[in-house]
Amino acid sequence: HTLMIITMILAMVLYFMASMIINELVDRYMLEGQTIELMWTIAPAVILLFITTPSLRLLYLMDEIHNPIMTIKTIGHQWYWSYEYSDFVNVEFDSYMTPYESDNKSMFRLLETDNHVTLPMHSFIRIIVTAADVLHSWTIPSLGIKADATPGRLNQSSFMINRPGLLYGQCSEICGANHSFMPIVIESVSTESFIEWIK
Amino acid sequence: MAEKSVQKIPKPQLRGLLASSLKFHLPAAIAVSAVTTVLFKIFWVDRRRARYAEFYKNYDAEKDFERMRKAGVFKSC
Repeated sequence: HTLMIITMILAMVLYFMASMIINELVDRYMLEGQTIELMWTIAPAVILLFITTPSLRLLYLMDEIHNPIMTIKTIGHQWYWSYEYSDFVNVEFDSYMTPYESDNKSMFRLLETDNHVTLPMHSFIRIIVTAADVLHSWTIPSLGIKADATPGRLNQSSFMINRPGLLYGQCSEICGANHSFMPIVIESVSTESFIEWIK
Repeated sequence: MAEKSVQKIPKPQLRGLLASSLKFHLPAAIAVSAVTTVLFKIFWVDRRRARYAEFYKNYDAEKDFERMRKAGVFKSC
């Protein structure tokens, strides 16, 4: 929706630019233009209203209560993530980045971890993010999720994964020397496999 | 003096040139931006939505998961 509005504005501006290049008329005595100033103040305000209205609707829709079936906690440390599954059995583990092996062609540099966050697909999951030392940020771009990990604060987010596979992310808040070296890997598996794993 | 018929040219427009230019260019700009937006909606936005709908129409997540599991993608299973 916003892209369409941007395209509309861009087309209009390009047209005006082209018409000014072709234009041969010059007003040497122009000092002010009250009407045009009024127009180019009101028009962007109206355009912003058109952008805001669906955006606000989406914001409130995103706050919808989903009744997640499980909650996982993630704690950011310098420089790794730790995860806790406290709903069924108490599972806790740390997730460190795996150093890159140049002879392993199937590996993503700076993205692989030793322990993956295993989650069931087609299930609403709540994630609670916090940090133990400095600010971090837990991000998975393919899920559209980014939550700041603040020490002394719990931030909540929820999501549902539609597809199986590996989903990668990286810390998104500067947190020291190894900020770029604390990735996140989610394994989205079937519900049966998840139950087998967590036992 | 030679008698020549003097052709008079029509008096050029001397005032209100911006207004008369705007009378043409403003509706033209609005039309160009409207057409561009509609074309963008049809050929980009709707096509993208159709591609997603096509992908998910017959998508079997469990089958995809089994294929990945057999390929050894997952550490947990």
